[in-house]
Amino acid sequence: MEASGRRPRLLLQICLIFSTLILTFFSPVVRSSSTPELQILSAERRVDLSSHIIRVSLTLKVENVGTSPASEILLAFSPAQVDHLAWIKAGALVGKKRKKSSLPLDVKPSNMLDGPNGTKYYSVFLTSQLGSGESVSLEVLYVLTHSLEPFPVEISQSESQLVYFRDSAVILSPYPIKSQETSFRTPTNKVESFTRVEPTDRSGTELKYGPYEELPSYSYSPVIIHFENNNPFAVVEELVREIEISHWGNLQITDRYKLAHAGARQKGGFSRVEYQSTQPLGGSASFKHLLAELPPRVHSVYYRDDIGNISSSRLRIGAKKSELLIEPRYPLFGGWKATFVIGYGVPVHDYLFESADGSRYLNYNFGCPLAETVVDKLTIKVVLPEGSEDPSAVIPFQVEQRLEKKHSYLDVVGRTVLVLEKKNVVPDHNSPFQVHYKFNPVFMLAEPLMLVLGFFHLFVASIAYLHMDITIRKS
Amino acid sequence: MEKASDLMSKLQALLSMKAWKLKTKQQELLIRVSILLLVYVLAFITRLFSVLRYESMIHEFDPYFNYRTTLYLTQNGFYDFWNWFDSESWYPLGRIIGGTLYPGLMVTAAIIYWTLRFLRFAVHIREVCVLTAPFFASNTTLVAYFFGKELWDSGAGLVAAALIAICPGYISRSVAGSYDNEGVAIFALLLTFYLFVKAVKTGLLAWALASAFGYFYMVSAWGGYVFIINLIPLYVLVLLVTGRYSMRLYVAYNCMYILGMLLAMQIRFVGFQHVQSGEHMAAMGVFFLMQVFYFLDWVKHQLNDPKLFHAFLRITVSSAVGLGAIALGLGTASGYISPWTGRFYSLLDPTYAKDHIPIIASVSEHQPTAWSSFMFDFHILLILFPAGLYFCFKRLSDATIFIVMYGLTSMYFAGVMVRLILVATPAVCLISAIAVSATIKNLTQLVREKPKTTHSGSAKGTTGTKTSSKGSFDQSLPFQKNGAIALLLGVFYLLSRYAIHCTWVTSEAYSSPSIVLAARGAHGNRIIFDDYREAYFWLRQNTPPDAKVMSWWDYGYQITAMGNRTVIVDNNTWNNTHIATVGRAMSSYEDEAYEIMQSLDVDYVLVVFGGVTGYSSDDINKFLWMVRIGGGVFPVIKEPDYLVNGEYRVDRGAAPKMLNCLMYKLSYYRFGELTTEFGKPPGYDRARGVEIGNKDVKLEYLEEAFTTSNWIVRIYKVKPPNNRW
Repeated sequence: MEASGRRPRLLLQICLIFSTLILTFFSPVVRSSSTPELQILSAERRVDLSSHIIRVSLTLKVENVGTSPASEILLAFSPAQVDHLAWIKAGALVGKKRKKSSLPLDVKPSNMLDGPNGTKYYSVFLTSQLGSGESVSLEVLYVLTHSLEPFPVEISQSESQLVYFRDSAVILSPYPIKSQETSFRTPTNKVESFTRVEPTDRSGTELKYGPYEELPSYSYSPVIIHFENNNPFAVVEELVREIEISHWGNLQITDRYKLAHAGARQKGGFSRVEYQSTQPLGGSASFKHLLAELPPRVHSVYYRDDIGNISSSRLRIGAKKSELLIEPRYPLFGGWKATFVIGYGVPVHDYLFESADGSRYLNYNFGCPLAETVVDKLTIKVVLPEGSEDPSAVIPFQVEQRLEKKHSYLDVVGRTVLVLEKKNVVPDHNSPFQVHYKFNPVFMLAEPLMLVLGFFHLFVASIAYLHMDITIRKS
Repeated sequence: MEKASDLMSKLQALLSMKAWKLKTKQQELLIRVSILLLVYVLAFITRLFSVLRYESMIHEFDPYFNYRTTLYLTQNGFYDFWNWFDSESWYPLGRIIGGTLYPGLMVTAAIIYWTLRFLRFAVHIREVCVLTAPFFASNTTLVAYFFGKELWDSGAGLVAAALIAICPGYISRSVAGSYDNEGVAIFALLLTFYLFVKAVKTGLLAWALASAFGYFYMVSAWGGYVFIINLIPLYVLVLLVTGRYSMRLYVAYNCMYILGMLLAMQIRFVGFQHVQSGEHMAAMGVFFLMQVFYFLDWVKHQLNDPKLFHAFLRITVSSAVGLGAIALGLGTASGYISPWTGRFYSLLDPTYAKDHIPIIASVSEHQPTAWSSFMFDFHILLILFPAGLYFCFKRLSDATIFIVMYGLTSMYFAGVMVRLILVATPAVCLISAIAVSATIKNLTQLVREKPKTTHSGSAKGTTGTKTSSKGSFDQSLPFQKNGAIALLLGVFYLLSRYAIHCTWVTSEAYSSPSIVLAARGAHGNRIIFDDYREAYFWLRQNTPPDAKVMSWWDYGYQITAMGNRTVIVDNNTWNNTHIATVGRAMSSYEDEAYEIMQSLDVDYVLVVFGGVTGYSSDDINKFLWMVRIGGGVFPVIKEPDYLVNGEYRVDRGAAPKMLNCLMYKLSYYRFGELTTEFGKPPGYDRARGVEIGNKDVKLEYLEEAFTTSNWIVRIYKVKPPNNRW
């Protein structure tokens, strides 16, 4: 990766910081006060490497050592990490010891110019300004995808999968850190190798770097961890979800998946006899089934692909949620792909509500129902009923939006489709979003009336035909 | 079924009669329309067993090709479809799809699809394809009704519609999902015949024109149109010989033949065959004969002298026949008129294919029909058929002569080939309907009659339906009414047995898609073997898009349609040599086969293997046909090399060549390590019930790429050649 092998040079760093500071000062985005001086008293980072979705939790204690109050705190990421950063959340820790709770804070990509070596920033906006000499505890959670690099790149059926993870032993931050510690948790005890940056300690599945004291800002110390990870590397390359609203009582959801195993590629052939005889080990890096979490009261569930129904699935309907265990037609080994469609209906009154101003809104879950999967590109198409107007979406994070038209059963003018697109979606994105629109219930009657009219004309025509005499000459 | 529907509609009619006081004629119309409507619906829904039991999917082999081409047609439009050069099949030759298929089915499905789309029904083309055959079966019942009405009366028409709606011989080819040419072709066939009979009866150009268009639709749909173009001339000839020549016949035949021929030439696959192929010459001969007849008629009218006319007749007929024979001889000798094809020969002579064309003989549906399958497909119709023939002969007309000839010829062909039972089915249903209708009509007349004085005497007369019906006219026999009621009940019993049998056959025998296999587990639960689709989908997703797959030709259409990969040979068996090359590769040693596969750019080899599940129609059981077809072109392959004392075996006592040929190796690779059945040694083949002879199969040039969960389909990758240095 880009950042590795570069030793932070203090002079250059300082120059760069100054230049950034000056640039930000003059940049059109004007802040209320000059950039405050902050420092981090203590930092703790835990990196969970147990699946292919890497979850990092960062606890920071930030102190304002400058004179002006601070309203935002910057988080720094290396360019490689920013590309793979799927989700980020921050909270301020309040209370003491056991009564600790976290107040959610706003996190946004900062429009500050890039830092040294292309460092990118995210700003955490504090609810109240941090006065001079005050300190605040922050908790930051973020999720990285596609950051584990299989090595060896190709493995045979029975081998287990080893991956590289590249990171820094110290936390990258625009502020100096007084004391910090980083720990990595690997899925198994099997760790082939790791970079030592003393003090480094390994026990079981835990790999600990630090504590390091008094590090200047923008410290970076690349490490590589090579370890075993046989968890399913299930990546949905593309997921297109269509939510069709019918005011007659049904919400039809159709999910089209392009699933791939993104781990080490399969080398050589696939031997069924080996796969059968050594089931738990036989294809250790492969996966056979996936769990999809569907809403409760789900009905008419189907699971099929381009060439027909896939008979290997099990559905469990519960009061809180339904679980669908799906098996692709074949076990997925590294590099293998499978495409399929899952569709189901849910009662519309569970998800469609009327707001105070008379408009309707749909409240549905964003994200992919499959457990522990990354979605590279998620497209949600909300098909509104024919005749609805002014669609608008309320989504807790940044997505691309556009409008389309779709013609379905007996449509004359077509239905408005609100298309939402988001890249790099992880299970943490499973939070509700809303689509507001205006709809006149009279339109509900349009299609039945059309059918009635059609049949009416048919019968009238047949009656007329039976009573008509169109022969020219009587025989 | 028919009885129930009859009752139902009568009930409705009664109810409505009180309400509106319909006239008798209107009542009759109402009953007729409602019965027809019920039959129409019945014909559709009885074919839906497979959709309910499995899913809405395409069945078997050929329908997959039809589905793929329909998909192409709907996606790319008609002109692209017509000019489509398919490089995915018959690698490296390719196939000109537009010029080598009957487009009727695809165009029909596409038109239905486009219409529904236009009416804003968001259907998928697959659903349209799946339901095309049942829809046309329903339409066939309507045609059968009108045909029956034309032949006998509207009662016979209704019975014919009801019989054909559920006749297993027709259902076998028209269940939902069986998206094959026959599905629409039977409709077209019956329609053409009906319109032609109507044209002959009325002598109207309009009907003849309609029958020409019916014929055009038939030609565009199925190769079986050859049956029409030979049967109709034969019928005309019979009418001529029996002295039933008329102007009506002249108009009907000439219009139908000329227009039908011109229209048929628009189908590229048929082209100029109507004037160039031996199979169509009978029609042309009869056409000229008609002109001679007309001419003679005119001369006779002009001469008014029997003696002179007889002399003239002799000269004209002999010179006409002589000219025709010379023209035919010259045409054949110069190669302008192609001789009869092997398929045509094998129809006339059942043993021909076995001796000369193994590729035709290897298909199970081309085997001669066993008695049991006649019984299975026709049930009581087999007995009613002769009775119906009797009624037809009793009331001879142009129409009944036609149906008798259709019945007799198609019965012969049905005996030659199993699949041609389908062609015989409409005739059998129509003739049987005449028998049923006539019998019931006679019996009900007896029942309705006011009882006269009964004589005490022999009660034998009531046993036979015909005698009783006859007896009713001259004198009434004792217990006549009771006997008639008993006989009516008997008829209803038989008909209800027929309905039960048909439903049972449809649900048990003709509604499995053969792509998905189902079995009963130890606890009575249903086990699904979905291995075919597993393998095809694996091919589709995990091999390079330009990979070439070699398999036996049976699976070619499915691999291209579901796997979306190029195949070497497929079910369109137009190039025997190419198939023989694959057969040769399969029956050679691995190193020889590797050379063949290299020359064909093969990347993957697919074999079907039933040893684990006991699935008996796998490649090992088809292997002797591969040897025969391969050996037919390449004499290096000799059938006796694979047999031991004329016996085909795969166990320890098998022939050494058998144990080491490619097919054996690919089927049994690493099978020796697997225990398939409790209490049996490893490597026990459940399909053949033996322990295999070569358990230590080593592959040098191929490697296992994928094997499905029940081992039914095994795919091997052909390794690239070794580096020379």
